[in-house]
Parts: sequence; structure tokens; C-alpha cells
Amino acid sequence: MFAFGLALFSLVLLGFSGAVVTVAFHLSRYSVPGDRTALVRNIFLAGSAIFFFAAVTAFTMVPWNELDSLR
Amino acid sequence: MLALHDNERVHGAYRKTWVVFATSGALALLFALAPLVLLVLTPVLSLPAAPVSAPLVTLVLMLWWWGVWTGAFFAFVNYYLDVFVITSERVIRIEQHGPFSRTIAELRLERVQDVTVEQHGILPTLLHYGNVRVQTAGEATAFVFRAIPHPIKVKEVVMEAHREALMRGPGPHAT
Repeated sequence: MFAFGLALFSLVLLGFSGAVVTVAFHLSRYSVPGDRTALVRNIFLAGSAIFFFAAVTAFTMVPWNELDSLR
Repeated sequence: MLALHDNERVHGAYRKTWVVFATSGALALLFALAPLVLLVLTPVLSLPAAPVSAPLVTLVLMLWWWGVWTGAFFAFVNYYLDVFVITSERVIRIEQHGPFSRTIAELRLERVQDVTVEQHGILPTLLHYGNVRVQTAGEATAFVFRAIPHPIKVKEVVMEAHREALMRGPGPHAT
């Protein structure tokens, strides 16, 4: 169960991280002089970091062994 | 970053009205609230609650909200990176069509022949947004930027920049 969960979690993390990098790249590269793109990018990255660490923390706290007994 | 020529000044950079993003924003909010509604409704509707541990629910919630957050920003980038820039030398229209599709068009201010403002409908009239159409001499298709807030003021900025460009004469970057 843990191996399956880890594989799935890693895939999801990889996908979301790729999407985060894509959005941050666009906001960095395509700004216009005087706009607030940098602020928007920082807010987005801060939120993504919070969700990332919360997800990783929650994953490490899941009792995978007990889930096997629930099946 | 937009590359400006030497001595080129930006008169204004205009983005589409917030109304354009409102649907995507509302949808993102609905998706964000959906799991909370499900959690609240589960005991009320006597739905069989799955025998899962709190960390697993937290994990699923965090991943769900992260997905909604990223999806909302994808939609926001699509909206926010559509920009209409008026400089001292040219008018630049930048349109983001998706994560990997972008169009940048520009025209020299000296070639501007006519600027038209279009406001059709109840929402554009009440919320003061509309289309700005810039026509150049001899071009079949006009330069159009849609759903701009306060399009009449934008039109005035374009006309003023056009007058200044004509008085200054063609610069080193004129073609």
C-alpha cells in the first residue's frame, strides 16, 4: 500500500511542480515595465510552497500499515 | 520582459477587465469549497464516511487545493498576460492564448489612421469596458484589443501618443 501510495504521490507531486514552474516562468518572463507580475508570482509561489510542504507532511503522517488492515 | 528601444517611454499598459477572469475565478472558488461542503454534508446526509485516517483526508485535501490553486493561476496567467501597451513609438498587443501559445503584434504610431471605441451590451456599459480598434492606413484588418476598462481614455492616450509621434517625426526604428 505504501509503495503504491508513494508512486502515486510522487507522480502527482511531479505534475503539480511542473505546472508551478510553468506558471512562475510565464510570470517572470512576460512582465511589462511597471506592472505587478513579480508580486503575483511571489504570491503564487508562496501558496504553492505551503501546499507542497503540507502535502508532504500529511503523506509522512499517514499510517500506511493500518490502511492495509482496513482493506 | 517587454524590450523597449532607447528613449522609448511607456504611456500606459492596459489589461482586460476583471470581468473576463470572473468566471474562472468563481469556478476555482467552487472547486475549492466542494470538499468542505462534502465533509459537512456527510453526517447530515448519512452518507457512509470512508474509514480513512485524518492525515489521509488532509493529504487529499492539500493535493486538491494545490490543484485548484495551480489551475486558477493558469487561468489567471492566460488573462493577466494579455496586455495592450502604448509607448511613445508604437502600440503593442500581447495576447496569451494558452500556456505555450503567445502572439505579439505591434504597429508604429505614425501609421495610425483611426481609433474606434466599441461598447455593446449591458455589462460593458455599466462596468465601463469595451473594445479599442486601431486602424492603420491601407491595412485590411484593424488592431483590436477587447474588453479594455475605460476604453475612451485609452483611445485618448493612443491619439495623444499618435500626435506626439507625428510632431517628432519617424525615429531610427521606423520601417
